[in-house]
Amino acid sequence: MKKMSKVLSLALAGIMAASLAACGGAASSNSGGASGSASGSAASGASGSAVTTTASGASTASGDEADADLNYQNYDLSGKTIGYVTINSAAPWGGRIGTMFQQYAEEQGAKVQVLDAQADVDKVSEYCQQMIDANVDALVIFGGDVDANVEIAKNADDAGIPVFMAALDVGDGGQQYVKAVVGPDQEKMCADIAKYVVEQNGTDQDFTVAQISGVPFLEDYIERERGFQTYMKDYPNYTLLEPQYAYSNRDDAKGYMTDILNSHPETNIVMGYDDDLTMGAVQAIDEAGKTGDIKVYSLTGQKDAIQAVIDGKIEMTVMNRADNISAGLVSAIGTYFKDGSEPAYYLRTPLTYITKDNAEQYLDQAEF
Amino acid sequence: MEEKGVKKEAAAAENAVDLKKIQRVRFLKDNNSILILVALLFVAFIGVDGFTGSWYNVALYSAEYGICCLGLALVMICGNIDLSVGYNAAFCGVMFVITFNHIYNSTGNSALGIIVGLIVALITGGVLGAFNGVIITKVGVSPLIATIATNYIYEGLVMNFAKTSFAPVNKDAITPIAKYQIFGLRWLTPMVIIFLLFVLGTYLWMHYTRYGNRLHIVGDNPEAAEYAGISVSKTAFTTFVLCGIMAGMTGFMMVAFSGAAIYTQGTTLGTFPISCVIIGGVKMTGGKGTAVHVLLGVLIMRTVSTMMSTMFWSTNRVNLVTGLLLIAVLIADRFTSTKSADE
Amino acid sequence: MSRGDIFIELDDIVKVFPGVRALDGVSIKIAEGKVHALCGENGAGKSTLIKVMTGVHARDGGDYRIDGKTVNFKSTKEAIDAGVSCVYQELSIAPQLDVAKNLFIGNLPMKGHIIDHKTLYEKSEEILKFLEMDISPHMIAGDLSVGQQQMIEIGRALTRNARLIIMDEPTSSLSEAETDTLFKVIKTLVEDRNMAIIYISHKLDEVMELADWITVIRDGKNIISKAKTDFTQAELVKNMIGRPLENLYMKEPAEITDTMLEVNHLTRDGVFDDISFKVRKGEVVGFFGLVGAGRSEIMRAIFGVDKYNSGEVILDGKKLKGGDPAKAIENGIGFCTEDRKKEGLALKISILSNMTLVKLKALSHGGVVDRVAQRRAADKYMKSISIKAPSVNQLVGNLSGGNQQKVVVAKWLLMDPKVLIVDEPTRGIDVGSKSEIYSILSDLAKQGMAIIVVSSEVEEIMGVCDKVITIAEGKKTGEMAITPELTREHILSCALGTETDFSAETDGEKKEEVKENG
Repeated sequence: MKKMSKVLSLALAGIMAASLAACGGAASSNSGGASGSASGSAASGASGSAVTTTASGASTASGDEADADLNYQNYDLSGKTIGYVTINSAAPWGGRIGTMFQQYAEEQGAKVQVLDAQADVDKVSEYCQQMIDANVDALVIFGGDVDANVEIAKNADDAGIPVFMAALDVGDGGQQYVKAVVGPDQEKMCADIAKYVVEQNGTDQDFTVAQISGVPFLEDYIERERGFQTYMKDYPNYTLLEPQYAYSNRDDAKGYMTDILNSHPETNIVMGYDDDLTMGAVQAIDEAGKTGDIKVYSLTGQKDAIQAVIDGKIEMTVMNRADNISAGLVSAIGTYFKDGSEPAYYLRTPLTYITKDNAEQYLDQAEF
Repeated sequence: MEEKGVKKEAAAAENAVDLKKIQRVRFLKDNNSILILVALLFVAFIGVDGFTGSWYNVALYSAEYGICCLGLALVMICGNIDLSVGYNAAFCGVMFVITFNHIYNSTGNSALGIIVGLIVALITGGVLGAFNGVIITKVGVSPLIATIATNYIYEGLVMNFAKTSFAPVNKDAITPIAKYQIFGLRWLTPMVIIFLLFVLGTYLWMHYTRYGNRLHIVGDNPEAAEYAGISVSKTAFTTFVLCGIMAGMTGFMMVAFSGAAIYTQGTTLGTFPISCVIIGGVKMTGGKGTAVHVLLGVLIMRTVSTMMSTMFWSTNRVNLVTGLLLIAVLIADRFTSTKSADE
Repeated sequence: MSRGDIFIELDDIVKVFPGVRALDGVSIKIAEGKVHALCGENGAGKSTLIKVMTGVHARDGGDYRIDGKTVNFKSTKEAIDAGVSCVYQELSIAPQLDVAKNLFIGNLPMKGHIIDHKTLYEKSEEILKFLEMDISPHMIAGDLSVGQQQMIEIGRALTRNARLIIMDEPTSSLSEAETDTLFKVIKTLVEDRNMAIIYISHKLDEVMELADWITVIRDGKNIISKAKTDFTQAELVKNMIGRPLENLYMKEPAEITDTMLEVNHLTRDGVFDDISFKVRKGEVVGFFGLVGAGRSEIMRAIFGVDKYNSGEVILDGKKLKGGDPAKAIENGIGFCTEDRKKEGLALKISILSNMTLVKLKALSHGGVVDRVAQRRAADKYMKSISIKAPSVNQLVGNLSGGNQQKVVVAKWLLMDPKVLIVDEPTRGIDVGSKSEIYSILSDLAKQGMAIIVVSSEVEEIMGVCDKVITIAEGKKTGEMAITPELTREHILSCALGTETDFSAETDGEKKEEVKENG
């Protein structure tokens, strides 16, 4: 009996180990399945006839910024292995950046290795290191800790691997190790929303603004809040309530909104830093029977939010397409491989400001 | 009287054979983690492409997280558990950065900043550990519940002090502790040496000192310990404090390794130390295990993880396999009970 | 000091627990180099007295002097340092530590601040040799037999420079050989090392063999205290239970009729081999063998807790499927296990709940327990086998060993079993309760129940059984009718495997079939 158990335990260990080895070959095939509807029109869709389509590159003259090239088809990545490390592929927007990047890059002949840290910031560092050890030709990082990413970028740079950041910049001191950051200027996007809020509501009356945000320490939200709040500072008739953090959970957002409506019944403006959360807040407002009394502003551009704009429940949302970022990344990497050039550090993807006037035409273009 | 003599001899002879065998089985059973590690390394080096290039990560990450696993092992050997190690460490990391930045900004001396920061981190860890200890050994709350609660508290502290992750102002002074390659060896950095010193120190303490020896007795049979004049609650309290101090050291290591105190590191650690300690051969029920077992456990867990990321497997599958491995070890342990046949 | 000098005196010790006067003026004098036996039924106050002596409890009255100086121990450590060590009845072995560390628990030899491992293992070797134990000090204590662990506990007292060692039921889990060794050790300690021993045991023959002086305690008072030579065993028993006990073993003849349980060629590889026997209605069959011979394992296999590789169990003409205790219970096998506390009883719940545990299904309607029926069933047995407790709601953990055992028996009687297996029914039970248990068994046999008694005490087997089956190393070595001519030595030899005797076996032809099957 004892001997048998010992054998059993060894056998188990062996099986586990063997299964690891056996699965090694299949590891790279875990591409996402969501390559359906919107992908083809991604690059052209945003540059259509939208009234308020802007690209931040246009507004600044700095050589540090340029428009991202969305025509990724013009670049050749054949023979290259690209490592893509994501903080979390389960979230819709962030997940789509990865899925589309993999699809576009593979269309252009690259091999893409993906490692998903599943919201574990520390794992991002570990996985990037793994990509560096595997000696990939380029490394793309989406998310993680800005400060920790500095260290990673440095390590990659030391190993001669070009680093590209998706959507989010690296922390201070890390820029020198990064080739480019591809994504919209999130801070400016929210400043633009703030500007629209002031334009729409004026500077005479007093307003109370509730803020529903995502995660207090995630860089996207920090940048977005900064953009909105900094702009609003100049308008003292707008009182900003402390942001409530729903940690990417729509139900929590709804709950927080209900709480705010109870504790601050005077609230008449809501700023949501993510459509998914905003929709939670909209639900709470609906249930409180205050639709129409409270003006809601948001961003992301997901389908139900655009529908809410049409229905008059949201004043404005900003379409910030994930696939544009993916396309911009492929182009940036392609450019780098072609001649080693770096057009600019910040490669801005276009944003589409959606209001009641143009909402109908974007309803079908939403990514999710 | 005659038949008694005969009986005794027969019994003695049979005993001797039996006991030798038991001793052999026992040795294998108690040290099966070394077999697992060897098997894993064998598979990794032979079967996993690229592992030879990345295995040094096993050493580095083991060193980064290993010390708090040691601390947890002390608590578990005493028959308790501490689920708050992760956020304790994370908070100590935050405290280190705050202190370091303060001192560096006012004096410009990074060495002083590191030393004082480290001391503050260790004291913070010790105090948080002592808090656990008081609640568990003095108030008498179950360690499982108590440390789930304190984990929330420590998480709250981290979030409170660090609204965002933050980095030391002069981190280039600190990261060499984790990164400087001694003799140009990628796996040999000061951090690895510190970890090994902790393992050695803990091993010697438990093996050679009277106090260190108490842990096994207390975890194994608290009643026997009390009868022998050993205070169970004092011993348990000590392990919680030591665990906290070691968590503090891990907090420092994490800052040195990632170049910043990262808010989610508490979650990252989460159940990882417990898995390491168990897989290494420390018993959940207490009374069993040494620092070397913890070392083995940490290496096993890190080898699995590195092996899989080398194959570009993501966290979900790593978790799956780690879980299966843990279950396999526990099953093996269950079936290799060496209790003699009369049970 | 020399042999016979009194060095410990307890005068008029009083200890009061809420509602109970556990010790009510007990006085004892302990002399160096003497064995002092402490006798009394369970609950008489012996354990409390020990706990007062070893610093576990503080006394509420009286004087406790060592070498003429009054002592007030606040912990066991202080008592140990003053030379008073105790080997407790409940094992306090640390099962995952090695033997040496168990011997020197809390008292490791030091060289400065560092543990002196060399001395530790050398001294341990010496002590093991002294205890005639052929094991390595590196062995893990949990791997040892219960008897060996008990010896380790005794060895522990030796490492502490004890002047007095208190032994509470030290032989309750020792084999005969180990008991012999223990006695030898005790004699050496007393005679060569001038130590004092307080020896507590229910086994009166042990007391009579070892003791120099005997004190009997009853209801927290000393009843009598005098030299062993002045006592007879009968007098001892009379003083302990407060009345004369005519006959400890009250086996009354019962009518033995049809075969109830038939076991054929039962084999479990490596544990027991080819065991066949029959038990008839009204018959009490004893199973005797050394600890670890496989007796309990056979019973566990019959009951279905353990599996067996081959053979069959036939109950009342019906073959039982192995490995299913629930079926066995349903078919009418009751099994009172060896270790009451571990396997047989839930100490923290009431007598009522314990008793009706296995019967619960029959006492329920549609999953709801019929409290009235449950209460009635329990009350019936409270009376019929006279469990001494204020009510059926008493927690079992608060009962004496004897009464606990009765609860176990009652639990099975509620099922109306056809066969009742009792494993070590009187271990750790005082004389009075023993006698009661025996008479219960005798009554049950008279009612036509088939009974199997597993025991390590030859006297018990000879006293209560109609027939004895001996087991040595997993094999059946004898089956004898209990007759006045059968000697104790003969049974022992069979149990050792040095002799065989199948004189009472009914069907010898079965032997041949084994080979075909195997």
